[in-house]
Amino acid sequence: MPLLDVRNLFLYYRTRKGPVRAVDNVSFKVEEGTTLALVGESGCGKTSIGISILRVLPRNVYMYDGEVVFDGVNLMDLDDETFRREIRWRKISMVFQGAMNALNPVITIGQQVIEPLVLSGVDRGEALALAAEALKSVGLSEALLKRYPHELSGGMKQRVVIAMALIMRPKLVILDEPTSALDLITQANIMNLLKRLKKEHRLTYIFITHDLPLASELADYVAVMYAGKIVEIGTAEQIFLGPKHPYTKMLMDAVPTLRYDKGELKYIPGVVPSLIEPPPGCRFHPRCPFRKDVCDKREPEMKEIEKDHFVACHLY
Amino acid sequence: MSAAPPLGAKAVIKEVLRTKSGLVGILLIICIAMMAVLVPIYAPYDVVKKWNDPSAWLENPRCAAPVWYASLIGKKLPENIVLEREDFYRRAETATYGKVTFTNITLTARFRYTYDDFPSEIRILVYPVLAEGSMSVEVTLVRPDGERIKLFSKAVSAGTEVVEIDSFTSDEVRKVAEEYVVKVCGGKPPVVVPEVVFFAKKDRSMANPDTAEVLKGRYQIVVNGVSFTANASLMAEAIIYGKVFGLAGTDGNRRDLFVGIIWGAPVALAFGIIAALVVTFLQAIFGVISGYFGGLVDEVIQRITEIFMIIPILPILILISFIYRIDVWTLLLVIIALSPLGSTTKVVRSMVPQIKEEQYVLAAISYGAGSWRIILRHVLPRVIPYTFSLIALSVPVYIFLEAALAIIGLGDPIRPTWGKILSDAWESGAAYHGYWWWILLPAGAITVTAVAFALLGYAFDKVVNPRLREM
Repeated sequence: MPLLDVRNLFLYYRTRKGPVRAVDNVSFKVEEGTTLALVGESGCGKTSIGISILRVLPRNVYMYDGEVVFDGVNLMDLDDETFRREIRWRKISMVFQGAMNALNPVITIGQQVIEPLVLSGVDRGEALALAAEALKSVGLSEALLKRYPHELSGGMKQRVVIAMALIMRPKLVILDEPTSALDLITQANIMNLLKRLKKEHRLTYIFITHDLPLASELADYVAVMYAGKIVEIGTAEQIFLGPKHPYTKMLMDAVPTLRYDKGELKYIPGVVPSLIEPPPGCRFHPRCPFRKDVCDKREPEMKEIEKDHFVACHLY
Repeated sequence: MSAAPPLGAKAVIKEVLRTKSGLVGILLIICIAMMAVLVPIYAPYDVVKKWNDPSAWLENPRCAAPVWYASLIGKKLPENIVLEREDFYRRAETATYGKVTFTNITLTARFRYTYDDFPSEIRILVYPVLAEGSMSVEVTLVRPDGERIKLFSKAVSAGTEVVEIDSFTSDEVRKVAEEYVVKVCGGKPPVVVPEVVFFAKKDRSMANPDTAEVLKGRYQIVVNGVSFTANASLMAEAIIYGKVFGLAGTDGNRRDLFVGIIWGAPVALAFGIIAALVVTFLQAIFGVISGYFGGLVDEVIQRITEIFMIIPILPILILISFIYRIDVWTLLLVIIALSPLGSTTKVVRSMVPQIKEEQYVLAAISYGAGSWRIILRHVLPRVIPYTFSLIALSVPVYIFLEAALAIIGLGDPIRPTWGKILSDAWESGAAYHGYWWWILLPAGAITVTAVAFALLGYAFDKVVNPRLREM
């Protein structure tokens, strides 16, 4: 049984122009101890999946539906209070985008890291001891407990945020672009840290990123999103070595490489469609070089073309 | 140069102390607060009780200027001369003629009078001690020029505890003075001021208090009692009231205004600060709730706030004070009750939506912090530095409000607040009589306090308002 089984998840936002279909009928599974990378362009609904699993929704939700089965329990059946008490941080935690802003500038690191513990009733002194341990586990000195966020570098802040996400020993950690604001060296350090923590604590990650090479570092499985939908999902090898969906292929081709010159970098013509009125049929068809007649009429279904490798495309 | 505004309360206070106006404001407030410390040293008694007891202040001159006023105008103004019982030199003679015992007691007190102005009042108290019968009492003022003015001459019967000879209230003393003027000048003057007449140089100018000159030198008060009762005795006290007293003068009821002013300082500070703190915090908290929860809660709080903002507070306070004669602490409660929502609610509410969208708030929601915890831990601390200047600037508003109510006679009925002192001055026509200290000192205290908080408020504003920092 997978640790997390998301079935037919919908998350629409209300705007003045009409509902934005940020997550539109998305299903995927994550096995315990593995990492699923959610990749895709900006604005394709990656973060929306993250916040809909942890149910930290903005005010303007238009539709929030589907099943999120975690450890055999459908989280959608839990009321807000139970969800808050039992799931958030104890079972599922999240590292938010942009570590720079994820810490309150007027509260010391120690006080912030222990917040989740204090909220669950742990004694303050004990919580501070655990926080010191957590900081050590992410490679930081416990002297930082008394510091304020502005005294820390970006990488240190990111480590603090990761320590905070792990402090309640959750099973699933949603990492929302954990390294996007960091330089390459720091990025590498954080990635190594995440790998080490995964091994030590047998963590399950959902790794949200737009950076394909980075995803390849950590991911066991990769889900490629386009315009609110998952278009291809499979193991990392399958996706990186044999991408099947035209969008995945074009995305791979757009990644610059160091080793050899690809010539002029390829790009995908056109722009990401509006999520308010997405194109009919396959959402990628206006930009797709392999477009067929059926593409703008019928939405393609997920097909398993080899074991664990699903593609939503009329070509297969 | 533009710098980001400091975020925490500690940092803000540090910055404020670095600005000149903030430092001056804080120093002034400390000075005013120090006056509270003076109270137990200078007036180690129940000030409120004593303030309202006229008999407690009998030894002070009426409407006396502060002592330092004398050196200000370069004139030696009279201070109180108090002659205690021990200061009277006593001579008693007893003679017996057959069955009749005759007692003659003479009490003499000497004092030097070298001031440039006349005393404000003379009060002599004579205590006859008689078992029965009566005693003939005579009180005489002996002037340096040898003139003897008989102030009092009467038989006093047994049982009389005290005979009061007061130049201010006694018609007999006034008559004596009038007769003396008539004797010297030959005509009856339009005004007779006994204490001027008694201490003036003996010439025609003494009839007019404005032209009379002070006769300096050694004066004597002689009290003589003659009785046919055995064991009769006599004691006397006298006060020659001056025209200056204490650091702040006295009011029309002889009360030491310095006591009133230093006692009023902690009351004014406590009143202003408590009102400003409680009102601003209540308003800020409602603003945070309104902004944080949004939706219907926001709508309801904002509409009620608008209702509170158009309530005319002063007329309502006047009405309440007029009907119920409330004291200063009840007034404080009424003020708080009338403004739990107001402009601060609006200001804070406009700041919250931005703070609410910060990543750490989202993170707090996701690790299970409840709304109230997020408000207290993450939202309120960001808002509070901005309320500092609002608090500082509204302290004088409440001090003025209390004073304004007191001045129109609706203040605390018994406590000597600054406003109450001003109200007494107004009722006694202090401005008309030229008792400037009675008006300027309490008014000055109010003004200095207001300025101190205003300076502090502007300093806070400069520190927390990024647009002002750029200038």
